[in-house]
Amino acid sequence: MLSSSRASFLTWCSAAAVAASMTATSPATAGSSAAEIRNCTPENWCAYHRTVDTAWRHSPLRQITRENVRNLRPVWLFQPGGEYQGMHSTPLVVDGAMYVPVNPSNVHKIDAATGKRIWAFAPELDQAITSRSFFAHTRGIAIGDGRVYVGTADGRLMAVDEKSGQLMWDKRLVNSAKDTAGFSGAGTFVSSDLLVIGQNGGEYPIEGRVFGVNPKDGTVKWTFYTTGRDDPEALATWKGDSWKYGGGGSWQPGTIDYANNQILLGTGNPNPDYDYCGDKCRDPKADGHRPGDNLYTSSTVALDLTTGKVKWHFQEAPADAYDYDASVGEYVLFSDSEGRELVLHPGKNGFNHVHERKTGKPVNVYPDMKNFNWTSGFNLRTGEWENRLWPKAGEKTLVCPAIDGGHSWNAGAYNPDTKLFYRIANEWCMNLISKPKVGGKVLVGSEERTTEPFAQTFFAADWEGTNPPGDRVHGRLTARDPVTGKIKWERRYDIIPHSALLSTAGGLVFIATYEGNLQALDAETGGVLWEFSLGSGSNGGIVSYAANGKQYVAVVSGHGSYVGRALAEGYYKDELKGYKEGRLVVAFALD
Amino acid sequence: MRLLVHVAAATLGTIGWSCVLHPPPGAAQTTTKVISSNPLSNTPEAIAAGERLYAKFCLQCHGANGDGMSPRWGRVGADLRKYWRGYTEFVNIVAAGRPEKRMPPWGAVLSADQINEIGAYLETLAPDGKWGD
Repeated sequence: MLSSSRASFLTWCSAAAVAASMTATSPATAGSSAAEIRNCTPENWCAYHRTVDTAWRHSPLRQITRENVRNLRPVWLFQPGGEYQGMHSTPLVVDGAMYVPVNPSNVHKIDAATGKRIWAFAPELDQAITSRSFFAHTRGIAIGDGRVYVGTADGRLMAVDEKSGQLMWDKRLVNSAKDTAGFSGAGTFVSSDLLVIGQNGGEYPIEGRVFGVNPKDGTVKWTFYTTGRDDPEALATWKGDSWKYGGGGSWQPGTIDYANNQILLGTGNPNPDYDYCGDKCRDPKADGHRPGDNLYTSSTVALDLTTGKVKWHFQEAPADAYDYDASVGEYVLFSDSEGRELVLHPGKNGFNHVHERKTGKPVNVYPDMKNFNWTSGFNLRTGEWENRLWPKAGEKTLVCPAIDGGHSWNAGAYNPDTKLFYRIANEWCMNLISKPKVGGKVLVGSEERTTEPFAQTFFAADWEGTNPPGDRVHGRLTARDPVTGKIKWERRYDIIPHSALLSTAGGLVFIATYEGNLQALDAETGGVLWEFSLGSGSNGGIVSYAANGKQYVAVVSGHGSYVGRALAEGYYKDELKGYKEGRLVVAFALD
Repeated sequence: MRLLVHVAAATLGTIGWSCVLHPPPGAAQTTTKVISSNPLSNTPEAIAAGERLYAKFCLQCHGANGDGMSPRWGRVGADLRKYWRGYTEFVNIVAAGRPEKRMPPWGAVLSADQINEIGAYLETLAPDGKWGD
């Protein structure tokens, strides 16, 4: 399953982890050098998905095991304060220090063994922007070469000294006062010469962008336009100048494929969200706001690390009529039993997409959710999504999955020992009311493109959450063969969980439910081995690291986020009644 | 309409017959006198214009029905099917915004007449015809 170099590296990692846990030595001193971020020793959590080149969210540490996890106890709490949007983030850990991103665009450095705060970075943001932005939240940060990189809600990228917490440089990349969009996701530290970060804003009438930046000073080295500027193939998929307002963006980090000099990442949905052109939406000549397939929105793109140009792409929802953007979902790099180098992406469209990593050729595209009706599936032979469901203008149309996706941005995990991919799928639907342009009047949404900042969200539909046919809305955690999709085990959660997952070499999978329980599951069977009440639901990451030779598991907790609101206000009004947004980090270790 | 007058009258008792719109920081420093009840109530042309303006500037937060349910973000806006603080304060809030509630200031974008048109449209969204109750 694994390439030989990766297998050797993991063997080394495991050995190092055991040595660290056995000898209880002082923290590693590798720092955040580019070499360390690229190779990430077992004690550390070096990037949003732990590693920049696999996105497994798998810790090689094995001190905490199936056998002793029942002895896991909380050892410290950290409350960053505030509550708006709760906590979405995944902390990073380097050399015994944890870096906790907090909404909006703040970072706290804390001692990962004690929870004691070392410094706080709270940049002065443009309140005229952040007080109105829908995206004044921070899901992640990047670290490398002694700097912490923070994309801000008001459109800047900042570098902070890892040791002192002092600002090193501050570059405006997005004119947020005009575009409304800014940064909310983590960047990806590629090397001492390159950091890649995308802006949010698929809902806004802008040209979404991904930036290749020099991490030394924030200079932009290249820009990729997600709606196809200067790219004839892409521009042919938009009517008129609709690409100039086509949105897209890319609001979650990608995964680096060093061998092929590319980064794999997902792009956001086109603007406006939804359209009224029905089954003609894929025809660039049709009537509508943005008829055509709208490349490269709602797509996986492989960008050349040197130039930022597209090497290959795969559109997960051509002419996206449902807000199935591809920014959610991790790009998991692995090799299968045949030695093929592959990438797996769980999309918001509810499918898992497996591609040959170098060429993008689809190897398998299979549904991870049971309840989907926007397509009957992807035909590997023709390369087409078949039997598309186009909402009928003026009618209530049942569409599954719902707007927040069959997969959300809470990432799954891959365990190289079990060779299983663990992921939460959301079994929920929506009644979409897509409105036609009849008699010059759009019944829901604006009849004209909205370009005024902060009025920019532009809808051509309304929706309401509903249950899947014959069932109740719920979440499913599955353990699958990532290539074939064959399920080894699955668990049903009546309330959809929204935490990222953590896999560990101790044979465990951790999940934090929306009822507020942190659970340790047996990676082989899915059985619950340990549980702890956090007191609030989770929308963020669970990480594992070592400090002073001891393995820890830390989780961010707190209701919040738009998905969380959809859960509490739309689908679980009774079960989640009275829950308030909150922020908490809890670390656990063995007795 | 009778209820609207009642609400407007009650409001007048506390804040007076007229007020001054305070433009947001950075906006042109002009002052605009507005009256405390909507002069465009029940005016078909104003209602139609208000509907278009509402769809463009307000709907994304306050929802297609004005009930505060955004079609994208959930419950992020106030329920606008009633002037909870009276009409004068409604106009003030639209113009000056409420940063603590993530409400942008529209005073530099919308004229007083346009705000009144939006108000005229909102009055048609009142449940069971009990707008302003």
